[in-house]
Order: sequence, then structure tokens, then C-alpha cells
Amino acid sequence: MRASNTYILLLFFLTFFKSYSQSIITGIVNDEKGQALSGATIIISNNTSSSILAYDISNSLGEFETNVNDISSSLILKVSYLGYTTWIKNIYNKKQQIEIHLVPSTENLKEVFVEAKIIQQHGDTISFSVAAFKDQKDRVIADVIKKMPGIEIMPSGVILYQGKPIQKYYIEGLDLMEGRYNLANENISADDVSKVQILENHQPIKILDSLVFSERSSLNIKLKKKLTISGNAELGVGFSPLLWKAKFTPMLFSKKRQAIVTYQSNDTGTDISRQIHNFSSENSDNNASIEKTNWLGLTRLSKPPFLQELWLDNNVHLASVNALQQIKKDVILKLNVSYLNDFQKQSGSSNTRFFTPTDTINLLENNQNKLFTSNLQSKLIVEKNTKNNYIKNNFEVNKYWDSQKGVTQLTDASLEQNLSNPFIAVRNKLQLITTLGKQLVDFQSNIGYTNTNQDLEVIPGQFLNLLNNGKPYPKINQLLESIRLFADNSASLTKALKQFTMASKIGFSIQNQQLNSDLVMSENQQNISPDFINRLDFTASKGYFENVIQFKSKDEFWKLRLKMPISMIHLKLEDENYSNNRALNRFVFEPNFYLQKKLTAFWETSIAAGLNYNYGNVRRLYSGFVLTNYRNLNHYNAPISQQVNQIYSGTISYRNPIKQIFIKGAYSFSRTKNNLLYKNEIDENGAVILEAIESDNFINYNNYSLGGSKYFKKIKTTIKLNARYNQSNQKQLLNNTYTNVENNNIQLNANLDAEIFSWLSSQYIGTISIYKSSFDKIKLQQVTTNKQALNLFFYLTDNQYLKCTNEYYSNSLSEENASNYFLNFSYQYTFKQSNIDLNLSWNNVLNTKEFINVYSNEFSYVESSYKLRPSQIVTSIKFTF
Amino acid sequence: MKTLYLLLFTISIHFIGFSQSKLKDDFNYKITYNLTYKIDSTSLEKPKSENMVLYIGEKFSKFSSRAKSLKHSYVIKGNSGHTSREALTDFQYEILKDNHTNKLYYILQIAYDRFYYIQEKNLFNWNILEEIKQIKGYKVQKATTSFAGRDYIAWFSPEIPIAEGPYKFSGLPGLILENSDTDNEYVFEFIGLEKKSPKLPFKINLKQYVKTEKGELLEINYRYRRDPLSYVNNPNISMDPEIYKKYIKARATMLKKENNPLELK
Repeated sequence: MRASNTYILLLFFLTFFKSYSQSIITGIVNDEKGQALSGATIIISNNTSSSILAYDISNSLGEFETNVNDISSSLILKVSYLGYTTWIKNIYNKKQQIEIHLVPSTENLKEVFVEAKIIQQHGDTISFSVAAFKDQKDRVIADVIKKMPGIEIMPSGVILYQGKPIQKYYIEGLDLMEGRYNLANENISADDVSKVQILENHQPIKILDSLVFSERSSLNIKLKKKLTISGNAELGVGFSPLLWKAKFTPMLFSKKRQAIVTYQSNDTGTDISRQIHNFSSENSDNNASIEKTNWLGLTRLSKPPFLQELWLDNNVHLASVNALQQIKKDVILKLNVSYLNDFQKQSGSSNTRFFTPTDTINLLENNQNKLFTSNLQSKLIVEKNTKNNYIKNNFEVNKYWDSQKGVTQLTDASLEQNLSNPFIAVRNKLQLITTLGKQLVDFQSNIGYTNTNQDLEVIPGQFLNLLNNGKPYPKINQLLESIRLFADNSASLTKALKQFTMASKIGFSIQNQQLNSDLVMSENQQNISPDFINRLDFTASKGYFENVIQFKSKDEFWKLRLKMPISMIHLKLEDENYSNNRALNRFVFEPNFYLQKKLTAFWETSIAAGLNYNYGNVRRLYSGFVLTNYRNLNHYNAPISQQVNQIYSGTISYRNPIKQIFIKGAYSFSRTKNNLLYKNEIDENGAVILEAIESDNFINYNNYSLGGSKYFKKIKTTIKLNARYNQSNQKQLLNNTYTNVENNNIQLNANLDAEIFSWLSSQYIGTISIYKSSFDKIKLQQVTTNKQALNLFFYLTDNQYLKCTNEYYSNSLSEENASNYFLNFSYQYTFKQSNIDLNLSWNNVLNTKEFINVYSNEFSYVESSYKLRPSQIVTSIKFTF
Repeated sequence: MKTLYLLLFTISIHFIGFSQSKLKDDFNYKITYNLTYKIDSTSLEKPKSENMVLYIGEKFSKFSSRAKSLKHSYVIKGNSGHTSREALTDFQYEILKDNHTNKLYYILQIAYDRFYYIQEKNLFNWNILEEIKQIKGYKVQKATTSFAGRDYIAWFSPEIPIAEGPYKFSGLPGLILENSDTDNEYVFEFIGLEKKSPKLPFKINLKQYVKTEKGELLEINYRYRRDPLSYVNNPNISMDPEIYKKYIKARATMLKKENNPLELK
């Protein structure tokens, strides 16, 4: 470029003897007040043609400078600036300096309007073509969705888009699965799907659209055909002993009718109950929960914290039907019914060390448990979704026929436990959103009923001193019936004003719970002492008014949330055993405050503070003794419990995206005031009697955490380090001695992910936990547990994949078998031509017999061993139809 | 404790030190271009197109895709909900030109992080030609230049005394209404000019942005585009390594199709 310029210049010099006269014209552009105008255009042309001889743009001082190479004697100087009249003057072609004053003008630029059709309103839909993401290995739609940008599927099956769980999983615009979308996602054949759409900021309720902004996204599956019938099947066998695995899932989809049916069964340790888990966040309300509650139980064995296929001894059958029918244009009827039947065996032993201020008690138990699960869950939903209102009615009936049998061997005795714990729950949830004047109001009504009738039988009888004057007796039965009725009705509205959002909710809830229990020592027993009987009627009612104010600054550097709920609480407890009927009336204010501030591009900080109150839970209100398991006898012969919690927390984080360094530190403190103190009486057999007595006491928790990570570009490795320290102290009454119990827990984590070669990647996880407890000044033995895992992934060819996992566990408490080591292999081969996957897995290669786990409670250490499945090989094929 | 104070002190100094980094202006004109582009050199016959907007103020001009401009805070009013259209544009950048300091800021948000780099505004050596034509009623004149590996033919209008243009282009005595590289792979065409009344307030605080260099930003963006999950480094997200491998592969294939950027070097 520069060379050619020189040539041209040379050419000019050679061609013409006389060189052009060069005039440097400089100047300054000001407005009428003499203020410099920057960005004005200066054009110099000659009289004869409009061609531009020289030009410049004025700088911040209004100055310009032009070089004119022309022979003509006069020039035209034109100075323009937006909003000012253009200044034109004839000047001589010579070096000169000019001062220009521009005069404002009202004349505007001629506007050109963008033709409407050029700009298309896109909405917030992003479409991914399945064909673009699918490769031969992919069978079901989940395999393809996983690969789409911004989407991830968690091990539990929850789908995240941009790191946040999706709100709805639609198939052809219809929400068949109601949060249990895993069943659809893991079963619809990828070949049947044409597109996956992400509906960003999706508002599923039409009446709220364009009024209430949704931050969440939904996903829609577009099918290729109008009517799709497909499905998949998986069959597998293994040893030893002979194992099976079967799964059959036919499906039907059309615009108005959809159904997914599935039957699955295995005894290989795979947990298929997760297929019917509900991922929707609607069920977060505690008051209206219909989760099964287990009042009574067998001695529990702590489940190993790793791959279920290594330890779960099951025999499970699951059948599920999900059907959807569109009745009218905006009305949908949905039915979900599923039945699960499972038989699980657990075997293991546990060594519990109870610490009392005066003594240490050891309890050795050897447990063989058989768990029978049988439950039917059904849900009928009617939904009307129009631009004017939204109605959704959700009717659920869940029934459980569960029972458990256990044999426990103690050092010098053996006992049998039989538990039957059936449960039934019925709930109706109605939501109605409609306009009231100009405001949208959201009405919610939940009513429900639960009933459980549990029976725990322990042979022979326990708690001899308390129950039978120290004499042995053949058996003891704990009968317990709990009936609960609840209703919660509320109306809420939300208003947005610039950067502020305000939400108000007013409502009333009432809950009645009856608890009847009897401790029976023999069938023809007369006159049981009232100490072992409960006839309880508990009513809790609450009127509430909640206000939430949120603020988000325009640049999103400030975020603030203030919750100010006030409520009137009335509790009434009628108890035949307890002389005075207990009642409580409270007016409470429970503020909660959260502030987040981004300080710079790298630093961010947040603080939070809150206050809340908890009053009386039936599970801690009964005054007669209840045998919750063979060695725990509880009663709460005290006033209604009252708790006041204060929570404070703060975080500071640093993220440097250029250097890929992330550091976060957090601290939180909470203080709880209780009016009741729980008194534990531990006898020499490890049996615990729990009572509540009235005495104000405090529990303090301190949590510190610090973590960081760094990515090393050259070796494609990420290293993460985390440390956490928890400390708590509280007063307890152990065997009639007041003690100050302090628990300390330190946890250190290291994590390393490396892509070593394109065909090999590896992952290392290391965790060390240290527990320390002390009673007053007495320090107890420190327990350290240690976990190391190394996983290697080999991508042998495009259609072959081998995974090797190694895990090592150890602890400082166990005297023998203090460390466990596991090795597993899994291999997958995909037939490129047909839709068949072959999978071969070999779990517990070293045939490790048991797993030793150590954990601590408030005043005990538990060392438990769990019998594992033997080394097993399972091979399975999976195909779609 | 002493170190803590020292740290806090350093941090606070750090914050105060950037107090002059607020850029502020009111935009009074909005110019809309239609950009036709071929980002995938393997399918050149299928160009894509998008609307781009240039806002003009006293001191600053701001250029971005239309989708990106809708996302920006000054468009959101009340609780009208549709924002986050960012995913709908192939061009996530915003280009700010400061005609007082003659600096150009190239701004890019990647996940939660906002980056920028600074260049001189006068990047162009324009060659004005005699040729004249009309675009939407404006008289325009031809000019040529070379930039980042491509040769361009631009048409500017001396009737519009704004020395600005699409993308990083500027410096002609009149608004650039059309600009195209000689292979027609990036073609900016003028489709609208609108006076904003009232003026659109614009404010940006550079202390909230990470300053970087062009090469470094390209590298960071590539790392993000190849693997957004490990870039974001969310501890709550874990992925099966087999799936992760597939995912990286799919992302890499996607990125391969973005091999023809405007700036070739």
C-alpha cells in the first residue's frame, strides 16, 4: 500500500513538471456561543465538480486540518453539524486558518422508517433441529437434548437450561408429564422428534403473559408425524446369582391425545422409582404436603453413599400410565397413575457408641431387614388456560401398603421387629387466576386428608424396668393412628413499578391432626397406664399477610429483597393425658432481608438476615410414651414448643474470567432459642428414653466455607478446592446431667478434572471429614473419614466407550476393615446400522463384601457396615421401535 | 487481622480508582441497517440476515444487533416481559465510539462477565471516489478502504453530517449508508433513520467491565462457546463424562460453522 502510494506520487512528479500547490487549510468549528463542536464534517470541493478534494472531522476542541492538492484558485468549504445550518463559503486555495460559527437549525434529517415486515417479532423461542445434534449413538430424546447448547440433564433427570431448571416439558405444546418428565425424556425415540424448542422466559399461564415476567424457560418437543406410536425396550441378564432387567415403554402422541405407558422390572439394584419422581416446583408448600410420614420404624442401616447397583438388593416392578386428552380448545384433562412394588433386603451391622457425661455405652447390632413397598399414586388434573383466566384443579390420591420385617442380633439376645405402615393421602389443589379490575389476582385453595395406621411389633418385650417391673415379657406392640385434615386458602397479587416488584398475599390456613396411640404388652392386657396412651387432638390455625418487595437496579449490580410476613397463630391442643389443655396465641412478624451487590467486574458480595418462629409440631407434642423403634421411647410431657431463629449470613466472591480463577467465601451464624429442653436417658443397653422439659435454652451454629477453582489451559485441567467448617453448641440433658455439647466438623474437598488425550479423560475426587465433639470440658475421640475416587473414561472408537471407576473409603474409628476399595467397569457398544445398544457392566470387580461407614450424632458415634451385592456382570440390549 | 484490613483497604482503593469510568450520553438518532452475512464459509450460498442498529449521540455512538439493543435496559419499561432475546442474534457485541477521545470500545458479555477492549477510532484509510447514487432519497458517494483482511466499498451521504457508520467503520464526511466487502460476505444496508424524541439516555460504567485485549477476548469467547459449562464453573452442575464428551463434540462442530468472521485478522 505504502509502496504503491510512493509510486503514484513519483508518477505525479514525473508527469508534471510543475507540482500541485498544496494548501493546508486549518480551522476551528464553534457553535453560536463559541463552544467547540466536535464531530462536524468539513468538506472541501472545487467550483466545477462536486468531487471531494479534502475532508476532515473536527476533534474535541473543534479543530480540523485539511491538505488540498489542487490547481484551481478558489475552493468551496462546507461545514456541517447535526442540528446546525450547514456553513458554505468560497475560499482561496491557499494556506489559511478559518474560524467558523454554526447557527442552530430546527431542520431535522429526513426520517426513513423501517418497513414493518423487515423486522420480525421472534418471540422467545429457540429451535434446535434434532437432526443437527443427533448421532448414531443417540436413542432417546434425552441423549440429543443433553448435547444442545445451554441444556444439561442432571443425574437425577432434572433438565437445566442456562443453569436453571426448566419449568415445563411440553410435547407438541401439551404438558403430559406434569413435572415427571423424566419418563418421557428417557423414552421418546430421538428419531420421532423433529425439533426441540426452548421457550425462553416462558410464561405457561396465558393470562399472565406479558404481565408477569418469567425468568424460567420451558422445553417443547416437536414430533415429525401427526400421530406417533413408538416406544423402546430394554432386556438384560446377569449373574451371579441369575439377574434380570426389563423395561417396556410404548407411547402414543397426537395433537389432542397423548399417552405414555411403562412397565419396568429388575433385581439388579437399579432404582426405577426415580422415573416417577416429580420435578416440578409446585409442591414446595409444607402446609399442604402429603408426603408419607413414618412415625415408627425398624433399626435403620445407613445406606452406602455410592452407586446403588453395588448395594441395593431389590426386586422391583413399576407400571405407570400417563394420559392426556384435550377436551376443548383450552381445556385439558390429564391422568397419571402409577403402581410400584418393591421388595428390598438389607443386611448389616452397626456399632453405636453413646457418650454420656459419666459413661460410654457400646451397642452392637446385627440387622436383617426386609422391606416391602407397594404403592399406588394417582392424579387427575383439569386445566383451563385462556387469555382471560386460568383454572387448574389437581386431585390426588396416594395409597401405600408398606410393611417391614427385621431381625436384630444383639451381643446376648436376638429380637424380631414387624412393622406395618400403610398410608393414604387425598388432596385437592385448585388454582384460579383472574382479573379483578385492572389487577390480576391469584386464588389458591388446598385441602387434604392423610391417614396412617401403623403397628410396630417387637419380640421379645423391651424397656423391662419401665414397662414390666424389670421382668421379661414376650412381646410389645406399638399401635399408632394419625389423621390429618388441612385447608389453606389464599389470594395474592403482584405489582411491578419500574425497578421494584411488590407481591402481597393474604390467606388463612387451618390444620387438624389427631393422634391416637397405644402401647400394648399382651393381647389380653387390661388397664394400660395412661402414660402409654395418647388421645390427642391438635388444631393449628393461621391468618397471614405477606409482603415481598424486590428491587433490581438497571445494571443489575444491586439486588434487594425484603420479605415482611405477619401472621396470627392460634394453636389448641386437647390431650386426655395432660391435665391442662394447651393453647397458644401469637402475633408474629418474620422479616427477611437479602442484599446482593456486584462491586466490580470481579467482586461480588451479599448479605442476608432473617428472623422466624416455629410453634408446636405434633411429632413433638404427645405426652404419652411412643415406642418409635425397639430402643427409642419418646414423650413430650411439656408445653407447646416455641422456637425463635435468627439467621445472618454473608458471602464474598471473586471471579476472574480471564485467568479462570474463582474464589468464594461465606460465613453464616444462626441462633435458635427453644423453650423446651430434650432430655435423653440412655440405659446400659443403649435404649434411649426421650422426654421434653420446660427450660429455655439456645443452640448456636457457625458455618465457615471457602472454595476456589482454577482452570489450566495448557493441560486442560480444572482443579477445585473447598474447605468447610461447622461448629455448633447446645445444652442437653443427658442422663440427668446438664451438659454443654459442642460439635465440630471440618470437611476438605479436592477435585481434579483432566482431559488427558482426546480418547482419555479422568476425574479425581478426594474428601476428608473430621468430626470432633466435646461434653463440657471432656473431648471425645476425633473421627476422620476419607474418600478418594478416580474415574477413567476411555473413548475407544466412535461407538465404543469404556468406563473404569475406582473408589476408596477409610475411617479412623473402625478397628478392622477400616478401609474399603471398589472397582467397577462398564462398556458400551453401539451397532451403527441398527437401533441397538449393547451394554456390559461389571460391578464390584474385587467382590468386596461389605461397606463400613462412620457417622456421628449429637451424642453418639455410629459405625455401620452394610452388606454389598456380590461381584456381578450384567449385559443388556436396548432398542427402539 | 492486619492483612484483612489491608485487603479491604486495597479493595476499596480499587473501587474508588475507577470512578471516572462512567460513560454517559443521550442518543437522538437511531439508524437501522440490515446486515446480510455468511458466517459459515461451507454454505456460502445461504446467507443469513439480521437487523443492526446505530444510535447517535453528542459524544458517543453505539452499534449493536437490534436483538441486543432490545435487551439493553433502556428499552425495558415497567414489567413488559420479553427481554433475553440475546440468544437470537449471532452478534453479541456492542461497539461504542467516542468522538471526543477518538477511542473505540468493543464490548462483549460472556455469561456473567462483561468484557471490553479499546482500539483507536481512526482505523480506516478511506479513498473517496467520484461515483454517486441515491439510497432511500439520500445522495451517497462511493469510498473504499481495507480493514482486517477484507476490502470494502462504502457509500456515505454528505447530506447526513454524521461521521459514523456500521460496525467499527467511521471517519467519512457523512454517514455510511451502505458498506460491503468485495466478496459480499458482510453487507450492511441502510433501512431506517429515526429521530428519538425524547432522547434515549445511555449510561455505562466501565468499572463493571473487565478490560482485556482483542486477542485475549477472542480466546475467552472461544473457550466459552466451546464449553459454556466449565466456563461458568457452576459447582451445582455435574455431567457424565461420556455425555460431556458428546457435548464438546457437538459444540466444536457448531463452532466450525462459524469460520468466516467479519474480521479475518
